[in-house]
Amino acid sequence: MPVGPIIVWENITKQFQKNGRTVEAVRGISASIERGEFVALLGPSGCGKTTLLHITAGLARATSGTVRYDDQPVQAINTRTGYMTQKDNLLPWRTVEDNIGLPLRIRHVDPARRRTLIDQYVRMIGLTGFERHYPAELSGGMRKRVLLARSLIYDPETLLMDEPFGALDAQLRLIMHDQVLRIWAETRKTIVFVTHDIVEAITLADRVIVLTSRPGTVKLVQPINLPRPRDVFRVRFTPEFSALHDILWKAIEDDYKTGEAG
Amino acid sequence: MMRVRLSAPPWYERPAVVLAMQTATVGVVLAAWQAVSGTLVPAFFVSKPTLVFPRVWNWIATGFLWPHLIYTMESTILGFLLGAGTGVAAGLALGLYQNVSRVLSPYILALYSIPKIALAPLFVLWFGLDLTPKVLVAAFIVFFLVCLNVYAGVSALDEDLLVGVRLMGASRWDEVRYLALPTAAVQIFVGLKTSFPYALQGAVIGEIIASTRGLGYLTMWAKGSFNMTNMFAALSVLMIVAVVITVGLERLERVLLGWRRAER
Amino acid sequence: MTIAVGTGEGAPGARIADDGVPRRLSGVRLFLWRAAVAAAVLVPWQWMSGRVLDARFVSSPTAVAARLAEWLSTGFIWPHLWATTSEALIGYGVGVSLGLIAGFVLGIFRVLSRAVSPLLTGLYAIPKVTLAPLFVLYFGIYAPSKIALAAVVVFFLMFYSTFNGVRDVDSELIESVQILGARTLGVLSLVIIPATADWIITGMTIALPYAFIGAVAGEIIVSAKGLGYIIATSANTLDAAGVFAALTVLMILTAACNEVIIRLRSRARQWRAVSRHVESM
Repeated sequence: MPVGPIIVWENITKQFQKNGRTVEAVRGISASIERGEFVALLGPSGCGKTTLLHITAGLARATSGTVRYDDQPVQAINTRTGYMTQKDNLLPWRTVEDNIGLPLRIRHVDPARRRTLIDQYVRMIGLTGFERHYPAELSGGMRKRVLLARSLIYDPETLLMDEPFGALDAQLRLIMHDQVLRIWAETRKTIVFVTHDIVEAITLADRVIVLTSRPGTVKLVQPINLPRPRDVFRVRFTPEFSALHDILWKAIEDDYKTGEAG
Repeated sequence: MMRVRLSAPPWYERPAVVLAMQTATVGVVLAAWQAVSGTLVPAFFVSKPTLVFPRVWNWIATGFLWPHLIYTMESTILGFLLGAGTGVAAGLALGLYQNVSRVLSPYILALYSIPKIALAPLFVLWFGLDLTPKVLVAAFIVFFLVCLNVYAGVSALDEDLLVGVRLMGASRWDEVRYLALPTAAVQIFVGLKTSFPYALQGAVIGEIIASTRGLGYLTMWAKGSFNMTNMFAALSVLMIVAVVITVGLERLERVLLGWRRAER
Repeated sequence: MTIAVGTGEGAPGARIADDGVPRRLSGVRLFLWRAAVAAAVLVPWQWMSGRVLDARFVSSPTAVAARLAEWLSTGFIWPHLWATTSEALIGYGVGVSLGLIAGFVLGIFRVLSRAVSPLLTGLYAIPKVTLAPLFVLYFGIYAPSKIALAAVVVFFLMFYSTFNGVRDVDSELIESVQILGARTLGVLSLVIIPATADWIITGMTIALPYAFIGAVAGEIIVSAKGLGYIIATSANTLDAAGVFAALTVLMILTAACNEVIIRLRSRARQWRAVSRHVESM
């Protein structure tokens, strides 16, 4: 049984060139994430949260510092993570079921097993009957659900989620929260969830890591001790939730006040 | 005059009316041609419909036309296949290997700008009067068109999609199969579709320059004997062939690219 | 264990903004690679000429270069270069003007375009250059037939660009301006002309190389002057050096043209992006 944190960030700094100037996205980020943990990265827009996920997924290289996944340094695309990006990158020329099943095809899973898994996940996201539709025919919320299924279907150990529900309407977002927590409870994956929404962070996570605006540094690591399973529709009305909200709001309000954020 | 949105199409867009107008227009043109010939313009200079159409019919009935038509179509199709095959391969390679395309780009651009027709005398010099020079001219024209279209298609790969696919663990071959080819598929088809008529053009030009057979040769034969009836007859056949090809390709496009309409 | 999935130098992935600095060839290394490619073609050619291949058919780089030098020093090339260029440009001018007019007229008067469309399809389908023998009969073997050929080719391209541009104008945009009270002239100036501008410019830039194609094709078929004439006569007299030299001149001429076009097109595309952006707001 492997032990130790599954993701370790050691003093991660990331700079890149933009229009001839050096921009520092994140600086000196150090933190670790345990197996099976649900961690939220909270911070204003543009504070490097996406960059951090990219580095963890192997899509970008840190300028300095190391990221370790399961105690190995991440040197290339990390296919043990699933990544649900902000942007919708479903293949527009393939149906819903083809899109969901794509990772399995890439992994040469045999068609029968593929079929079973696809059906299972289609049901899980509640899109039965829409398997043969094309992404363009679905609403934003439905596309997000397809993306979720696609990220999960090959059963990656870790799921990286980058503000996946930002574009959804408030009610739909709650439903998705509920779904994510259910899936997490069943599968006990590690989830790293990026958001700028305090309520979302507290509702979902075991721990919240607060990042400052650019250059992003770790401002606060707040454990969320709310009991599980959580009722996403009601938990935010509890006093414990309010207390946590105050703490987190204090941590990030400065960034919003100085006008750096957003 | 301006397009106004009504619930029913305006009177001039209704199919029956359109058909009537089009027939009338063609009729008017032909009638004018017939009338002008012999009166305003010497008949031998422009011939007339009543001479040209029977001539075409005669060619068909006597079987005179077929060897020439087949010859032209042979070089067209062979040239197209050669050019398209190499063009698709080259376009994919250039699109996927950006560094190769950067090294070669000035040369490709320089070659692309040359009117390929200018290569025809060279090919005739090398290969003589048989089919080969025509096939090569057609192939060259098609190659460049297809290659550039395919290249553009592959280059337009959406990077977000690429990121998504790579995160799923795709190998380079998977990227080509699941992303590059479908992305480029539309452009590939557009390239193929637009270049086919040029294959015809290349073949005919080759025949005009040096040939003893083919539709292009027929136009030169008519020119040499100052026979305008034959000239227009040959051009009519060419026009019919070209239209059939164009319409056929349009139909094909609608069938194959139907899924795009789901996006609109 | 992390699986190393190749982000090889040439893969599309090399472009993914990593440090924002793509790993691409550039500068001196690029130049060297290009020089290497040129050498890989020229050196074997030179070597094979006269040995493996008959020099009359393939000539050699040195012979071609010598011929070009001779042409420049004797001034032989200039009248021919001028002939081809002027034929192409005059034909271009004529074709563009007629194409613009026809495009606007038929684009605005939809009735006309519907009626005429089968004729146009038929005429457009004919490979224009195959009209060359006809034009030679009508216009003679000198410049006018080449100009006519170039003009016809350009006409069709311009016509379709303009026509599509006029039709493409978003009818919603027209309606919104009409609601504001604009009448025909207003609609024309406020909406149609700016919107079609980029189609027109695109059409003009596409058509220019075709003017040269028309002129050269005409010259190859029959003429007394011009680059196409040189190519045809050199080929007929087994003078491969002449053919290649003329091709080189032609290549430089048309490549220069295309460079200009590419610049203009990217400018046009910027306008188009801006105007589409404005429309969508």
